[in-house]
Amino acid sequence: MTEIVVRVPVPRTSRTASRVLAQRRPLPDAPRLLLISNGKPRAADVLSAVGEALVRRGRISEYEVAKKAMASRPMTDGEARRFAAQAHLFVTGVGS
Amino acid sequence: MGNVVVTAVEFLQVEESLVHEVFYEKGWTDGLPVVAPTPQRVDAMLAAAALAEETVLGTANDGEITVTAGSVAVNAVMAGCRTDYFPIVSTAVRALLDPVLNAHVVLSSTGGAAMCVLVSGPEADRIGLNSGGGALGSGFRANATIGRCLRLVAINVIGARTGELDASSLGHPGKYSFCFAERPDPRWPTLREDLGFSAQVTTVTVFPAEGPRQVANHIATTGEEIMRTYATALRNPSAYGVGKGGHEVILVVGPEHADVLIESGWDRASMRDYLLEATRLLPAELAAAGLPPGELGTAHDQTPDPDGRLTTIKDPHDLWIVTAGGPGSGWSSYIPGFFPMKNGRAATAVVPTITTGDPSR
Repeated sequence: MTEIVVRVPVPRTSRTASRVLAQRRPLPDAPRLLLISNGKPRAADVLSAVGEALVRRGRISEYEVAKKAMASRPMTDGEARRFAAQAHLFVTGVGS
Repeated sequence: MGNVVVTAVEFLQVEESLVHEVFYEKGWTDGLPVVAPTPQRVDAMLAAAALAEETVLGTANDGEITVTAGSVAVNAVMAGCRTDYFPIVSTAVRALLDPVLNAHVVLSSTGGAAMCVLVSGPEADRIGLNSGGGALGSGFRANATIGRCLRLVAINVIGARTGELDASSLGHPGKYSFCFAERPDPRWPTLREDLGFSAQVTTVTVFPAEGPRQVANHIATTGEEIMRTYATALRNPSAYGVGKGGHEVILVVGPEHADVLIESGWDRASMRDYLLEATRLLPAELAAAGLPPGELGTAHDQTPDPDGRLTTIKDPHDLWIVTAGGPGSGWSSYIPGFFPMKNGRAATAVVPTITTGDPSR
């Protein structure tokens, strides 16, 4: 039985400046939902069905499906800001 | 986005005979046994490339992850690399993290791409990278472990574990390792020269790749016949990028095919001209293959060019033509790029000249 010391291959990281979350605002009685598609084919069909279902359940008043510029790249900060101005609730990166 | 710094190097005390089991349990391997990354082995890896522990090779995940030479060296030891492979390993990581490649989608997509590492230059011979018989197969430590190291870096440093960041639907065996060297044919310029580099340097290209397809033609006696076989392979709509406005392709030309092509007067330029045109399809051909037009603006958009055809390879240099392989009956290989090029592209970096005793690089 021989014990050895090895390096851990997963670097431990720390954020010097953590992500800044968008301001949380009180929800109105009739919140608006933005479903942000990941850009995959037919994502809008799937998300529209989700939006319709949520409206039927009475949890939201209306919804919209939006799409980020490219399926293969993360949403940019500018896109995020633009989307944030459009609704009260958001679901991102879905549609596969 | 938050800035991220790598904190102190972490160590683990472990029973020597259980290193693989412990690492496997923690999700730090690709499933195969690993070499224990002792501090001494990691330091030797760094020294061989004259790199310091904290040297930054690039960033990943939209700048969230800083990839250091030290973290790559740990994974190079685990992969089984010899220390003299590390200049090529670290260069491959630099290429992988080149923003033009868009590593995030390569490592996360359902498409399950491999990172094909293609080396051209004298360093390949020096470390024993196979470019001859079985170049895309097994049996050579440099090929096996350099390619494997990139996958371990993806898993451990970038977080691309299956079921987590890596959402591969199927993937392919090249995700264990996919690395080979050019076997230059003296009658053609080398790949690195074709890319605009000097013949004296060694280049390392990381090419996001679907699985390779062997291309057989044992019968042809003319270059045109072989080119028709290549065109048939490269225009097969089952590859994701075919007819989608342009993707990259590696065409590995085997020795017999190279002989016939060169003797028939073909060179890279004429092969590219021919194949760019021969791989343009009609939308009806994709539809006949079960691929009706996709949504406009997506990767499946099939808006044809003005002449009614769909482009498969847009620019001549998107078709990477490289000679490799050993004697056989007439084999080549076609490696489709994993995505239409609007999503990213292959990246190439040059292996730096090592200045011994300069660990600050």
